[in-house]
Amino acid sequence: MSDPSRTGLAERLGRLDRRWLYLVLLVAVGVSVVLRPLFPDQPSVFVRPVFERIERLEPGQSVLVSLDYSPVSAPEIEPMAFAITRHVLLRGAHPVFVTLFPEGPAMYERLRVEVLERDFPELVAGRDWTMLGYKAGGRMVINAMRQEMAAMFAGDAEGRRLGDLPGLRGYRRLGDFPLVVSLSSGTPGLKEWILYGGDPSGVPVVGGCTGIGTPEYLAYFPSQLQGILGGLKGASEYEAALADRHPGAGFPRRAGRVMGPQTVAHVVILLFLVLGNVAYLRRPGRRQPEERP
Amino acid sequence: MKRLIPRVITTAVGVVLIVTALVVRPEAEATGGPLAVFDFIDRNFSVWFNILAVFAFILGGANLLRVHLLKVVRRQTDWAFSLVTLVSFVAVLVVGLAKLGGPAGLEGSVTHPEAWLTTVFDGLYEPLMSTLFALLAFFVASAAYRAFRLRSVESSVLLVAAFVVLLGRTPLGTWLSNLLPPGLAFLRIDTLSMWILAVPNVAGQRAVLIGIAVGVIALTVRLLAGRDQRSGGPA
Repeated sequence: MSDPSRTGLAERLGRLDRRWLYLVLLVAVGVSVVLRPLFPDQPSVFVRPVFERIERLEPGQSVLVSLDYSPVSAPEIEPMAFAITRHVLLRGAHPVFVTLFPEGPAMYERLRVEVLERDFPELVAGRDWTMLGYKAGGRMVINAMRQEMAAMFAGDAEGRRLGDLPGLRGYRRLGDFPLVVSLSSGTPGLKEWILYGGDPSGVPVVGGCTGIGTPEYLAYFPSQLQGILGGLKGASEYEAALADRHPGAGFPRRAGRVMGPQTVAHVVILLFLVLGNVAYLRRPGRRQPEERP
Repeated sequence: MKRLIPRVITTAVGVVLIVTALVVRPEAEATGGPLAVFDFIDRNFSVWFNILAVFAFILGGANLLRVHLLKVVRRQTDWAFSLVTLVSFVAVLVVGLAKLGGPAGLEGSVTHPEAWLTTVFDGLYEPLMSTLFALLAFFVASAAYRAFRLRSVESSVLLVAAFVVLLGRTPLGTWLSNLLPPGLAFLRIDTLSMWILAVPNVAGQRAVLIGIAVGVIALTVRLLAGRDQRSGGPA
């Protein structure tokens, strides 16, 4: 015989109105957004190669950074773009931005205002960093860049001729770059940079992607894809590594601050996962092992 | 003839591009003689494709206008939504093409902070997309509560893996793991989470990728041989 109080609780849990769940999640995340706790973090085996690759850049070297994301995935990927750009510039290297997403130029604008102009006011567009702009065509843009940059871009997004850009002096094609960084939320993005850029030209590719996209890209790690920042956690790990190696820089840890609400959301989901299964295992009418024929 | 010509073009272009990809040749500057033709093809086919891709935007826009205009004119179901689509499409197109609001007018950047398109992007598009994406958290929580059940061995394995990865991708997983004695370090949630991602997940992903690649090769051979029905091959 089953305990009536237990089956009653199980029934109530089983019939729980989903709006209670939404309310608990909203309150829990809301409180953590207000408190903004900062947890310690350290780079994982996937994140560390990205950090070390950029840490080894020589001053004056140019790095191709592809901003292949839109506002939908910006909360996860934008902190990566900010942290990597800061790191590249701290090393004295020259980021060359490009985007395969139509929304990319607007994402670059935010990067320009919030990182390039705010954190590095002494640097000048065109001289210390380059934005080539958006090109339609996805994988074929990469293919053309592999052959010759000028085949795709006559100049930068502000109309300067390619030959007048110091960051692209000596960089005629994709293979001339020491590193390609693709911050990607889908197609075209990281996968295309690996298959059509890194593999045929031999240029090392690292990247960042949404948490949900990480398992797919790990299939290319570590030979075709040398490192990856997976979701907000990856961005937080990168920020922690940057703060650890360059403590004087004092950059804000945007992803680290958002990890609090994400952690709370994960815990609430896990809690309801457990409660849902307790209700399922104790529901009346569920056959017990000894009742099986 | 109507079917033959596209098939011949498809086969010829396909074979040329495959040969171009497979022919090993030195750096472009050093290439001369017969090999130079492969560099020419490799470089220019990509550019031609990109020119076509730009026209696809025009075709896509024209098609969107046609479909929704017809729906509004014929007062079909949900025609009001089509009207909203049309008004939004035309308004954003005009704002973007005319570079309205930007200090330098048509000479300036469409993404200038003062451009109206930036206002549309920052004030409408971005909050709308972010809101839609944020709602996913509530749906995931609800779905996890109602659907993720210990029904069978397979679902139990899936549930445990999800539990470990979800917890392992948060600082809480690391904190809980630090409570374990050194002898039980192999049970660290963050380590287990990384193992699940790096070993069983990668094995499955690579198997799927290799399977897809074999399928693509088979489809390509059918296309090049003119055997694919959807591309005008024999029924």
